[in-house]
Amino acid sequence: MGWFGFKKKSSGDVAKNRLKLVLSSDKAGCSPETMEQMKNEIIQVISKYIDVDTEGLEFRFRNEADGSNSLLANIPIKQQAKTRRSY
Amino acid sequence: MDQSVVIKGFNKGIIVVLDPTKDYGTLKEQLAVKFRESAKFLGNASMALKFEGMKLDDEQQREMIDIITTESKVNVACILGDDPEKEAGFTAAFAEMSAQTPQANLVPSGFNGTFYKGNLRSGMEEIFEGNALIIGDINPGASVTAKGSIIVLGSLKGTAFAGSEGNENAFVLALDMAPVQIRIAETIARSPDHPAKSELKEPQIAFLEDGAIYIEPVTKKVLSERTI
Amino acid sequence: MGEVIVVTSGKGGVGKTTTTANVGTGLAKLDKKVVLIDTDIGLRNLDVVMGLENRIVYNLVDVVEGNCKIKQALIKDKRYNTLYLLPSAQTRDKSAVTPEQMQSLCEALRGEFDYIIIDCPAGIEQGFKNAIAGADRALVVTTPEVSAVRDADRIIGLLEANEMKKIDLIVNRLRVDLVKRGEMMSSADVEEILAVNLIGIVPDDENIVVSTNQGEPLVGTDTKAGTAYMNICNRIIGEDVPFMDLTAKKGFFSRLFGKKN
Repeated sequence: MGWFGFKKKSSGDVAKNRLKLVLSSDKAGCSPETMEQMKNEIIQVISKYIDVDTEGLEFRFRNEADGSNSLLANIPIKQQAKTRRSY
Repeated sequence: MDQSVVIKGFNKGIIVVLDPTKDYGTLKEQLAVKFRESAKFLGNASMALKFEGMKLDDEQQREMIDIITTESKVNVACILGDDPEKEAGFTAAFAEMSAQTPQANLVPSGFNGTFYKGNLRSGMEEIFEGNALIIGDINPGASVTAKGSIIVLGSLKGTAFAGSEGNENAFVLALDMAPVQIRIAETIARSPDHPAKSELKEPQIAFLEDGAIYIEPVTKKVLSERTI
Repeated sequence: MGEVIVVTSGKGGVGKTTTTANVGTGLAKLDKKVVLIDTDIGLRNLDVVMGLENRIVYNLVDVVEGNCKIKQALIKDKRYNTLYLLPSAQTRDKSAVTPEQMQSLCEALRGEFDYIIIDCPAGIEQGFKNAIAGADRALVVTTPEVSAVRDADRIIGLLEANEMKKIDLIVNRLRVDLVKRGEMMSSADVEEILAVNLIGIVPDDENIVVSTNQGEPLVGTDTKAGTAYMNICNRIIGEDVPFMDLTAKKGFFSRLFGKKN
């Protein structure tokens, strides 16, 4: 996905990304814009304390066995940054 | 609308109501107009005629009947007066006469049928108490059930269930016979799994004989063996 | 004791009925005793796909209303004598059957059959609730399109909320050529988004149209879809079948994309 900078994004990938967004907002009951805003605010708060890798971020909703949904946030932490700061 | 001549129906024929305030010439003209307009509706039935509102002499009556028979195809069987005794005699005679005409055999007393106009589409189900005459198609997935016989003036491509209460003499007749299933009384026939293609479209009749349902072209012979 | 499997999708037109017919026929081919139940009341279709529409006398509603015995309403298949169909009613609506009635019907059939396969109507209303009421496991059918996948996700959520024990995914009508060009989501993409076990991929195959026209499911025939459906059946009975290589004919590309499919 978008690894080749010169290549136009294929419609298959566009479909996949649109779906991911639309499914998340379906479950959260809010619009994709709100989702994006929430994501940014969460990152802001966390990055006050730790350096996070904004590239590898993943936010998604998951169906739980009891019928509820949970928000799954996968936030990779930049290791080198941490070490650098300890100096 | 001109009301100087009014045509009304009664059980044995028609009543022509004449406005006594109008002159005879106008009435004749209006009578011609009225019968010309109703000619199609009245058809060529034999019926009794009765004049009301005005006393006509024999000459006038004859003139009036002449007008009626020229303007329409109605066959005036007789003229009824106001005499109740005469009328009773006529009623008996008329009943006897109509019992002899061939049309009367097609529609015996006790005939119970319903017309249905329109196409029956998938998911539609029509249930009739007596015989059913469907003017339209019965599509696959639609069904018609009747205690009596079913006649389809159109294509039968769905399910027809005649004699639903066990009448084994009931039949199903269709202009284009391509049913999914036909039931007559307790017997069920289904269409072949691999129907032969491009069969000639002709009216066919399905009937029950010796516990099996037969489908045959409509011929005089087959029809003569059926009763309604 | 038989297993009750519901075939569902949410969106209409993705191939639930075709899947039900082929999976059912395939399991019968594997010598299993199978009954197919069409729960799409008012819009029945499984009978025509199976080519059994001319044999219907009684239907699902007659059974639950007690107008006939279950056995009277079961239609034996033309080709396999261990395969039966319980057709839906065409002239009634969904409210003619309740989830409780479906549940007891499934229980009654369990003793007689190895597999009870339920064709679910589109949507998430009463018909869906009826269809899943007695089921142990679900086959969720989707096509690799945004609309179908979104609905499949909703359905999976509802199935999970109803404590469906096992949920498997079938990606139907996959166009290998489009996936190769990146113009269609791959089955792996769909699997990733929906996060349920993928039990089969059925390629888009014009033979399906032919088989539906004839009323004879193509499972097990030497066609791509026929092979794909047979593989699904084998996986349902617990065999470990590798996913077929949909790009078999084209050597170069199969090396590049074979794994993905």
